[in-house]
Amino acid sequence: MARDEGSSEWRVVATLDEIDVGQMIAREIADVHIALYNVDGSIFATDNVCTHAYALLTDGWLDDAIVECPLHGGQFNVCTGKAICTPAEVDLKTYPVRIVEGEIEVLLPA
Amino acid sequence: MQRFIVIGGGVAGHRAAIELSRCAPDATIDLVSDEPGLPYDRPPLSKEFLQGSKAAADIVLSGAASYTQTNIRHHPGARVVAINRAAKQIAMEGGAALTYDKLLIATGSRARRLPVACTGGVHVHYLRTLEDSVALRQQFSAGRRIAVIGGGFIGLEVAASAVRSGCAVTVLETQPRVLSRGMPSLVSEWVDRLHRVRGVDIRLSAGAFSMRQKQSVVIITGAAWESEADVVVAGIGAEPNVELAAGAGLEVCDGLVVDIQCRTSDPSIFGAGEVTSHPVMHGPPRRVESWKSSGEQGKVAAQAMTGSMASFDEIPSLWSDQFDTNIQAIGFPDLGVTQEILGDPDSNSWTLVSLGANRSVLGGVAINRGRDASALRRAVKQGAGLSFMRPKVA
Repeated sequence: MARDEGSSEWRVVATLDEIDVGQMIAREIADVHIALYNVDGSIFATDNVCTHAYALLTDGWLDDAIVECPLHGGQFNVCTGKAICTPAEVDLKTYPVRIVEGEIEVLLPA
Repeated sequence: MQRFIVIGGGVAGHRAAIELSRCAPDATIDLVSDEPGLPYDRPPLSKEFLQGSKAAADIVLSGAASYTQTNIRHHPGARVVAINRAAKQIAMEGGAALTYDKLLIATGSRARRLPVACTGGVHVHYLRTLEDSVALRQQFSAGRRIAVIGGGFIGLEVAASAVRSGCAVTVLETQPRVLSRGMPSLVSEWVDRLHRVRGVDIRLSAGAFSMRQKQSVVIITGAAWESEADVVVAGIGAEPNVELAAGAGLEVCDGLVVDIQCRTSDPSIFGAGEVTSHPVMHGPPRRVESWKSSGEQGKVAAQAMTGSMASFDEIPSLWSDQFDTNIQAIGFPDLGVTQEILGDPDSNSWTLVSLGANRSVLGGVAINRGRDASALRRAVKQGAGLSFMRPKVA
């Protein structure tokens, strides 16, 4: 969920050329695991830890907008964070993303 | 108003009830379960719950706590004794009856029991329900000797959890290898080593044995060996709870026979979950013991019950977490004619791929390689070849 900008800040987490279309990368910003995805040229950011058990989603599989967890095969829509396949049942937190001069910025809790 | 009844409060019954509620918000939905409390997640019963890192409240299935805000009427601790197909009623223990337009049988399976000739009246733990796991958990403490009868997934997960609790664990397996049912021998050997290096005493080809109680100790005697234990737990397979279906004259062949739309031989009665024998992509219809399949099948059954043409074509998929290892078996790893290995089986991260006669991927087992499990799922579904499994380099 987006926070208001008062308690959050835009942080540069990667450059656009680091993620090809259909790929995802992991970032750890101030102890928060973030996953960045390139879905058809648009960048999305979510928590990188699965809501079902401890695993990094970027170790899993990305098909268009759907990421599949490497541990038990739960799936999430990375654009909305919605859990779409068991055993994942709790939605994933998403973060607002913007691109500034080729750099990917994510709105993170300050 | 349409009346739906779901018998069984496991993941298949629960997911079916939730989906029925979504598809038919004006219907009545009675979810009847012989277990007390809300439907819960069974996989943690041999892992996190057994190890004490999760509590009962943590494993309630998502959505179960809010039945009262839906049209689902949950009947916990209620046993169905008969299905009267002519009257379209189920008879409950105690004499009450409920009428249905469409009925779902999702009665699941139960842990197979050791014959008395073998246990000699010694108390043996089994693991299927929350109650079972609570009872077993109380027995785990440092230094206690746990004998696990059966080297299948449940037995090995219990063994791993017992070791984590500081117990001394012996696994007795009648076959010459662990995971003998459905898993390729290379996987068996690898998992065998995983347990032995952590101190589990695995006895293969253990053959026939008998037990006797000597004060607080159980003596287990085989043909040429003897073992002492403080606690005995058996994981020797599951049996489908088909009695209600068989008693109602529905077609039963090992499991309750259903088609891809979860229909039984009676058009008003459907089946889902481990109780069913259903068509699969390769080979004859079979029962699938998988949490993931059961839930998905429950959902499809609900859609079929509300008139949609949904069909269940999920590829069998199961996972097991033992110590720090994640094992995922996808598709039909036992049906392949050749096997290919990705990665190094001497490491802790590798994948076995099972290929059919035409070199298409039939299934596989990914050990600490989740991305391969995802690839396997897709390769099996598409009938792709091994090249699909070669990594897309990130």
